[in-house]
Amino acid sequence: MSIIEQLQRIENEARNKVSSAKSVEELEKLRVAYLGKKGELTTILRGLKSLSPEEKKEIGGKANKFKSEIDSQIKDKKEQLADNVSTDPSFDYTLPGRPRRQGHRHLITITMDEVTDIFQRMGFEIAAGPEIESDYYNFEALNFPPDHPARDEQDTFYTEGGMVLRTHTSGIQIREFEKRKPPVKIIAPGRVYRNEAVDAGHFCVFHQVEGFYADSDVTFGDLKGVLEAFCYELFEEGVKLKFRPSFFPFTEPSAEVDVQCVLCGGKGCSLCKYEGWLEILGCGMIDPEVFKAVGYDPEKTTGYAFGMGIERLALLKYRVNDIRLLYENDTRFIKQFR
Amino acid sequence: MKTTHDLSNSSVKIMKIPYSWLKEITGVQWSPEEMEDRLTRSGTAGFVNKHNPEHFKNVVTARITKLEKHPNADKLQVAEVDTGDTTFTVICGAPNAAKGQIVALATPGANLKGEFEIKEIKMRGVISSGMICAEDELGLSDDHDGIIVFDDNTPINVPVFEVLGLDDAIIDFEITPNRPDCLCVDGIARELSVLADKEIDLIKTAPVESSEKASDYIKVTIEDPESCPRYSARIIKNVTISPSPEWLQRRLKDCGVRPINNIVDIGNYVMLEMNQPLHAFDYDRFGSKEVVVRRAKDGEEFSTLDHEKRRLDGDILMITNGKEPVAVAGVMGGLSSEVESDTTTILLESAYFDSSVIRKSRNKIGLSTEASFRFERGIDPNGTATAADRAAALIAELAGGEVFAGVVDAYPKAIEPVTVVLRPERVNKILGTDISDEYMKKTLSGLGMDLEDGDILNVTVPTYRPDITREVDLIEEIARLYGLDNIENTKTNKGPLYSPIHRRDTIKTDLRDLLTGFGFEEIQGTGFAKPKKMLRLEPDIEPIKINNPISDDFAYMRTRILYSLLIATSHNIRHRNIDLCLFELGKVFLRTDKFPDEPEFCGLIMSGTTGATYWKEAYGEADLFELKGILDGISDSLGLSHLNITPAKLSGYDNSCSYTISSGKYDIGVVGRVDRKIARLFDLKQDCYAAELKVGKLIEAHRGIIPFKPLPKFPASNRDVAIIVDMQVSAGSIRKSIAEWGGELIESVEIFDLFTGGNIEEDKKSLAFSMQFRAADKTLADEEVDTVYRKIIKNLEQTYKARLRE
Repeated sequence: MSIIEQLQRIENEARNKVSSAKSVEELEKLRVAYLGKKGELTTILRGLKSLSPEEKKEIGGKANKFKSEIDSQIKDKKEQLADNVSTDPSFDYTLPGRPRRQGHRHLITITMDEVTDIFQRMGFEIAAGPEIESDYYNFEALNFPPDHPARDEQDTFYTEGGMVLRTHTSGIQIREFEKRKPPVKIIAPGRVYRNEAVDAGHFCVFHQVEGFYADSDVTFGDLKGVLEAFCYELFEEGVKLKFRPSFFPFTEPSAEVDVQCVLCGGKGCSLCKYEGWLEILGCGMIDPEVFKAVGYDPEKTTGYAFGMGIERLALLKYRVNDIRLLYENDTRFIKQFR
Repeated sequence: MKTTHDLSNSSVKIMKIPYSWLKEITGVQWSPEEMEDRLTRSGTAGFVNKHNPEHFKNVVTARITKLEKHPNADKLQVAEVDTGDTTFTVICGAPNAAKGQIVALATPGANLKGEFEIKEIKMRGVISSGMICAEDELGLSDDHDGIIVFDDNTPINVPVFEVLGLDDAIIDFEITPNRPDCLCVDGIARELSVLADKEIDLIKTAPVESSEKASDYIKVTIEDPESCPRYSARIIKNVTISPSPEWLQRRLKDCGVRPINNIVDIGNYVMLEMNQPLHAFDYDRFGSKEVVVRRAKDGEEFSTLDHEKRRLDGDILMITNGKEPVAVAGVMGGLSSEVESDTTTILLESAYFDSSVIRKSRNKIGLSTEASFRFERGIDPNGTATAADRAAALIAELAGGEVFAGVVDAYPKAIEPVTVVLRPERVNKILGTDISDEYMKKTLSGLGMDLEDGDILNVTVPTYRPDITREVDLIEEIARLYGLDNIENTKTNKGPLYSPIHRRDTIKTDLRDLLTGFGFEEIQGTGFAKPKKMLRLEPDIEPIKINNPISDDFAYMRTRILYSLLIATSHNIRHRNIDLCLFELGKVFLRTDKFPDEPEFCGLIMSGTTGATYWKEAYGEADLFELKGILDGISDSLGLSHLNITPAKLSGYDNSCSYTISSGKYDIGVVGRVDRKIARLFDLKQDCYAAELKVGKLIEAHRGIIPFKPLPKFPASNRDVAIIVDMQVSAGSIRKSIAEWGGELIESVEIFDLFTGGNIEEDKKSLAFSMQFRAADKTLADEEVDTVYRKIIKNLEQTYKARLRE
């Protein structure tokens, strides 16, 4: 067999073996067997010495071509095998990925964040105040005179020394007005306390977001506009609102705001108790007595205030049927919200 | 609809008024639903209640013709009940059932309240084919004292729905405390009149009087005219006490008032109609011919109508006969002068008391009544005589009395209506509207106000509207009748340009994001604590106490956030959620001389395993190092310098594992293993690791902006070393020493292994460190690194008696 023929045979054999190789190890063996120092090709090329320069040149060329082709074929095949992990029989893609333990914000926080974000984007600054309050900030400065029937149903917790656990976040209005001059545009989220009988709808602790804006020319129309925009964001654009006149000592005129039931769209269902509307917040124009208490001139300054219960919004949105679940802190409950 | 937790949970009174009554006196033809809607949108929230006729199917009037004891049951009776064409045998357990009564009979096929089907059943051997109904069974009230018994002249075999007039709707009104005038039918009627733009006549027929003068029989002396500005009295003789006629009883029942007798019922009826509480004394038992209104004497005693003996004091206003008390003014009458079945002459009281005095009285006595509720909110001082007239006329009509001439009316200083100035442009300025002067004038006159025209309006407010004293009160009247929904919404944003965001708020968001990312669930504690547990957990701080707690669990304010973490952990473990990573951001409450201190804390707790189940490897158990890792994560993320923990004795934590945490000079908080005795107090058997971080300090300890450090230009060299040292030597101190000895070239030292046991002596341990060396200006030669490395080894051997591990 001529050298050329031998070369041809080795080439064919090598190509077949490489292409049918099953592992990187096998390929490495093939490479050594054909191209290594003691490999077949090397052995053949050793025989070149006896050939003419023309033959040398021809065979040398072919041999080099063969060498580089097989070499790259082996490389390709190696990459192909390395890339193709499915050849590992124990590989089972249905096994679960490594779990990263993910915690959850509390439902109250989720709702509170959503509400405060909306108002922050409207330019409200966030303020805070003490939870153990004086009678003055919780009641008197907000136009709840001592001995007024409006105090009765506030179900107040008292601490020693005549302080109260704040029954609303409205006291922050007074504290901020005292510190600032108009314009003042603030929301005050926070925890409040009421000494009510605990049941599915009531708990002795809950959260409110209070908002207020005092400036030279604030109108009831401004209040309505802000609350409408808020409800568009929180519920859905175009949702209908109903403003019902009501009474709060620190606003006049006062109103309660109903939003068209988010579940039935106003047709009536168990969520809205077949009323078609859900009561979600209270609001009004800040009473001149409040402005007087903080040294603002009610002739020059007008303003609005509104307040809403965060738990109520959360319960409505996620249709949670018992407020007490929020304070039990059962992780099976907490993990449901995000 | 239930009141929400809104701006103020104002005290709201539910008042029931039948739709037919409102329609009768106003002539307004709206449906109940339209009335409800229009009134609600103008501030008198109403809710229509209707009975479902389906629930009264097969419920008819019938007469009990025979009543015998059940042969096999002591407490039951067997009644034969006749509907005229059929006789039903019915088993009945009501104590008030009697032969001859006309009752409400539900026969098979009836479906009471839509939830209780009447079928023929066998009860202890007797077949019962129907039920004689009590009010609660028909859903009329909660009354289950006995079966409903109709008048003897009620026809039988007539649907009960018809007999009781149940086709009428009842409207429940929620009246806010500022609108006492709406606590009566006339008040709601006035609202309807404005809304429907329809004039109505609320004038009542005056009584026909006899020639005898009331003033010859009674004299009124007011000793305290500030507390009792007005007292009007009438005398009615020769009355016959009897049950009220059906229509009156029906109306009272519809309003939720229980009928008693004609005199008491008339008093209640006029109160519901005109908001004037009345009291009827038995004149013959009154004890004198003089009414004296005075403050009680300290220690005086008095028996009220509810058979309670009450001790009085000088804050309480009393009605007396000049010698002794006969009533607690505005709250409740007394037993001695009560109207009884033999009463013939009535002394009728129609008075106006100061609201704060009545509030004080009823608080002192601890008794709130329909009367005190109305006086407290404020009635019309100029309506007492009219109400007395109205009641007297009804008594004459329904109890056959003879009304003596004249109202004995003590009104030393008349209360005049107030005049309030209204600037029409101010209305539009506050509402953001363009309401015309004409609309304002028409609305206010419709509400019974007198207007004096001009650029500004002088508005005289009727005395039944004590809520209106200022211009803004009138603006509210206009707004609510104009319709708040008709005020146009502003579409643009107003307000200050600069509204800063505070770190106080954003740090909490940062912590929540971080900790939930680390797998912690956020909890919300109540802030309250149970005294015994709180004091065991933190004996060194005296908590703030609640004077009127809901229960012992809520009697103190927490002084440590750990308290709430343990409560939540306990709840979860009880419910088999045993692998816990929880955190809370909240306040604790600490006493000071003035306002309590309310520092905010970030509390963390870990118990059970800390990872999630994974097939490749086992997950870790909660321990100090799991928690330290979280703390390091917080410190890094919030931009604090490296945290150090120092052993300390801390209440709530195990002495062998409790530490204070510091970052530079800042004392950040504490961490440790919860004391097992404390854990047991919370029913916890598994170990808990917790940390309490001061949010304020986390903000303070922030290092500010740290300038950029250039990335290294030259490669680093690494060396590892494993040494055996005495057990007591701390890894932290060795690490710190290595870093010092490494000088400028050492870049980092990490501990990568701890090993005890095996072939290592019992009192020794093996520690392995990985060190990285680098120079800023060149590639370090191996020799340079080795020189430093050897120095470190030598120092380790000398300082820590360390032995290199093979």
